[in-house]
Amino acid sequence: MLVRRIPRIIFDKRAVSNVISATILTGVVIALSLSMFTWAQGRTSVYNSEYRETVDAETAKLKEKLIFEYVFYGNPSDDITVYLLNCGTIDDVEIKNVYVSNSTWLSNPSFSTLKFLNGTEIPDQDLDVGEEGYFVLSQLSTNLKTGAYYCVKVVTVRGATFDSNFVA
Amino acid sequence: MVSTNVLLWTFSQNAQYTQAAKDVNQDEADRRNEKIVATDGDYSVSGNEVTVEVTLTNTGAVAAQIINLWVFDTSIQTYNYTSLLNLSLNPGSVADLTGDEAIVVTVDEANPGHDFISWFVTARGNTIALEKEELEDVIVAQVAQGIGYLAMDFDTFRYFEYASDYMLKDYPAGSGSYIVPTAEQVVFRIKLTNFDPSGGNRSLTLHSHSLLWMYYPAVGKQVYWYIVNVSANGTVQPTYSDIVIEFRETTYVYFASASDGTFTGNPDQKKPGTGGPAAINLLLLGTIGPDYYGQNIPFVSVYCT
Repeated sequence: MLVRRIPRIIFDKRAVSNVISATILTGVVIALSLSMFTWAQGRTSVYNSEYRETVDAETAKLKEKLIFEYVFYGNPSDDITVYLLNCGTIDDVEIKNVYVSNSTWLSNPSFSTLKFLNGTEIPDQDLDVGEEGYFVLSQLSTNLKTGAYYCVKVVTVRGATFDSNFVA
Repeated sequence: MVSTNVLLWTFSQNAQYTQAAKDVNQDEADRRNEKIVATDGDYSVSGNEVTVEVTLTNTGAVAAQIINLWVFDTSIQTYNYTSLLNLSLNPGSVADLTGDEAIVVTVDEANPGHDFISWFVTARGNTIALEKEELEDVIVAQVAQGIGYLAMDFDTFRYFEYASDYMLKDYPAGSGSYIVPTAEQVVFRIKLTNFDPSGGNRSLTLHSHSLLWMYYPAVGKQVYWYIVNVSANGTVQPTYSDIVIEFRETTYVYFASASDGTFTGNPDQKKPGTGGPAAINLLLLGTIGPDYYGQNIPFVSVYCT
């Protein structure tokens, strides 16, 4: 039955009633609006999520604050020992990179695991608020010149940088 | 509606970031307003322990918490720190960290002749360098007549009687009076500090010829006691070995024997023997650094009864 009706519907030249056409148009508009809304909502959600992540990351970076309690170079080896205090307002400050430089030279030495000041290793390898710790820089590309002025820069995982000068 | 949502969301995120920035700025302002002054610093060394005496004054506008004291021995390039618990200062308050309140930091191979620098670290991350007490002031105030190398502490001048041939009675307290028994064999103890003012931070060695000399002006009589070593339990040692006083080290020195360099018990014990007022001089001989040293310190008067 249905198969026989289809050609009749296709080749029927009579006009559709106003009510039906209006209904169809309204349906189409609503469907399009809904799909547009859904798409926009999705895009907005992604945008919001990315924006929030950016703001959270920047806020966290802003809250990081490390100070250098002491930087010691030398005896008995040519290592540099860097003592840090997290005096910021956010936990989990993790060190990603350390650089040693002067006006003409830059080195990116390897650094040891982070330890508490009493020498025990910090389990999570980061500094929480108020925590103090140290690491040792070794394998500098060249030995530092005694009495010369150098800068040690610490880059955290969140992207904050902190530096301090010392005399070798 | 979607645009409004995005706008409001952006505003809220911006507000969150702005608040964080404000908090960080406030912390930074507090950090900059924190001002602690460490004055009248002084170091003394015993073994590996460096005792730091200092006066801390909070001259800033915010309360501050001191968390660490670092000490660096510049002579041998070693260092250490000690954590300071419960050391907080309100604005205007003063912490007198001297005497029993002094801070002890263990620094390997520290020596009284070494030079030290130290600094405090606050919880906000400021460091405060310790300003050392001016050496010149110490020399003029504490060394007899402001000359020579050794300072003598009047407050700890003591004499001891004997409990046996070699053992001191009432050791280590002794008798602090400046009234000395005439008829009893006695040993004198004096506290000396090496304040070598040359800047060379030299150690001073006292030889066996050093003695304490008592003079009675009324009768023109004199008595003297040679320097001796006394062990930790108060026993006078039969043979004298040189006493070395490092720069800025304080030590007790005993005078007991009638003989130069030896002490044989009762035969070498001495008593003042004469009543009345007497002047006491220290005749110190030895070496300071590589040079010979001699100093006569007219330091106390006693009355013998």
